[in-house]
Amino acid sequence: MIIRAFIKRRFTFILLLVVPILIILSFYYLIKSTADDLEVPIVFVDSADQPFVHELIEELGAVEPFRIELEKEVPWDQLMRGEIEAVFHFKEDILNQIHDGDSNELITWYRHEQSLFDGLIKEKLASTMVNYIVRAEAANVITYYDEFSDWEEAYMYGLRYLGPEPIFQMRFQSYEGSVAQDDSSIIADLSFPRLIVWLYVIILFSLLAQTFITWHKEDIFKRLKLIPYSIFSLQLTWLIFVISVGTILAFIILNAIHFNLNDSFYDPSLFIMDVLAIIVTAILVLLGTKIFYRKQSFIAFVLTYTISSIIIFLLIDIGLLNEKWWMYSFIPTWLLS
Amino acid sequence: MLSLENISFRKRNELILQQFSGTVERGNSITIFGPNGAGKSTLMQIMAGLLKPTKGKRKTSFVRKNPIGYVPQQLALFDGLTVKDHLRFYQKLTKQRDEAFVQEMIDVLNLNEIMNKRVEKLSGGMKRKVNLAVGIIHQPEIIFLDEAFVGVDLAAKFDMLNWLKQLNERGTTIVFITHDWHVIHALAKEMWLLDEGVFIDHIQMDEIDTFKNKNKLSIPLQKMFDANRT
Ligand SMILES: Nc1ncnc2c1ncn2[C@@H]1O[C@H](COP(=O)(O)OP(=O)(O)OP(=O)(O)O)[C@@H](O)[C@H]1O
Ligand SMILES: [Mg+2]
Repeated sequence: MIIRAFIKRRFTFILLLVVPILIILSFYYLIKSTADDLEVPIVFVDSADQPFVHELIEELGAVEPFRIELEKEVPWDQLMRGEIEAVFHFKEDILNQIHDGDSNELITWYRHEQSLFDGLIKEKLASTMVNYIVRAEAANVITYYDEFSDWEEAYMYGLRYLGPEPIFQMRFQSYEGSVAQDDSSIIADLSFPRLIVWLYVIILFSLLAQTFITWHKEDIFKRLKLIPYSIFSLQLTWLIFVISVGTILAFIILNAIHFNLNDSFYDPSLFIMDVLAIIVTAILVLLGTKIFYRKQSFIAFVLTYTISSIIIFLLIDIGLLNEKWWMYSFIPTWLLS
Repeated sequence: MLSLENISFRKRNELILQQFSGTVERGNSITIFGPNGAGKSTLMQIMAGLLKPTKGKRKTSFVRKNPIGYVPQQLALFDGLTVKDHLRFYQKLTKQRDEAFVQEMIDVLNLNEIMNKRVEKLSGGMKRKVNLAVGIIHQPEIIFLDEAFVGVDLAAKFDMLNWLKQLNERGTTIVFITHDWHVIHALAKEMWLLDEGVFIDHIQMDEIDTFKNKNKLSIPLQKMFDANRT
């Protein structure tokens, strides 16, 4: 019942429901757009439009960050402007050259000065190509020693005869693995979303605490002071209320963002820290209303604390500031991992 | 049950109350009377224990757990809550379990029709009634009323006075501040006269018309006494 007095303003209600949704949505789009940004355009050029190149592209399949386009000519302009990561130009009559066992300069690799990731697709392409080359070599060797055997048949089963997977492919896969790992470790600590959630929580708590400032001004506390423990019990009710609301909302927001990124739920051992931050923030805000019982001074107190916390958090996060013990008096620093 | 000895109160180097002494006996009904800014509200808050006097002693002897009822000059109500919410909330806080008492109060103050209305939607006079009701819902031994009758219509005033008189007859002590002679005549047994923080006199209400020292009074106080005759 008394909780209704805490959230009597419509604005608080909006903050309670709309803002968490906005935070989740904005992170959803932020993540989506960075994922789009990660797309690396690669162009395969095949002026003769050979079926073999189509087959090769199919064999390559989807290679995560890359978008492969097939063109007839080398798009020099786009390559110059860095809009294309790299161009792989296939020789005309490439299949015959492979069959002849000549693997020299089958492909010309053009890249931009600032191209970074094209080595990855080169490896993948090379390992796929090697399949064909090895099979052709094998078929050549077999038909050389055994003139009754069929070249085509030997070519088809070439890989089986030669045994192990080519070394390129193994190297490539380990590279891919390490990229994926890097990716998730950057995302898993969620420090920026956690900072945003804390920011939201302290704003929410400060608004909910305005009730106490109003009560102070309106002499409600004078009335309550004469009833033993009544102020204490009201403050306890407030604390329990805001901590539960804050914890539930933080849980929903962080899990939504985490799930969106990693398809898994948020690590409970990390969340303990968020809950601790929420509890201490609630107590801090409550103490604020007891010390600064004028609205303006209370707002000034909360703003000063929040802004300095964010600055210190960001400075530590980007490595401009070394963590020192006094920095832990700013709650968001607890969320740094 | 409550006595003050040489109480002084100072705020920001301004002497608001000087050397005040007085005793409240159980079952008495006292009005603190004086012009605006005389220090009446300050004195009442010291008596209720809300303010600590700068000098002097306050002694009390109560029997109950929640002995004091205080109805502040400002309407101290929760916006957004209904009258019923208010009554239940204070009932819970003060652990008042005497439902019969609460119901009687609701009836006498005619609160039944407005029970489910939110307080911010009530008229000024109705708010005063609720303000009074939540201040005394726990059946305190002593009730402090700081201008609890401002802006209340005659019918509501009748309800409130009626209830306070009943309580006083049952032994509840009442200390109140008002500028309304009608309320004073209806409720007070004794008057404490205060002017600019200085105690002037204790007057028994049956001696009020023969109050001799009238000529020593300041002009505002004289005018206030003149208003009694008309
Ligand atoms: N919070 C405060 N800070 C500084 N001075 C105050 C404060 N409250 C009251 N005063 C001063 O104390 C004096 C007495 O105030 P008080 O409210 O007790 O008067 P009062 O007799 O109740 O007046 P009224 O009839 O207008 O209610 C006044 O001069 C007032 O200016
Ligand atoms: Mg006053």
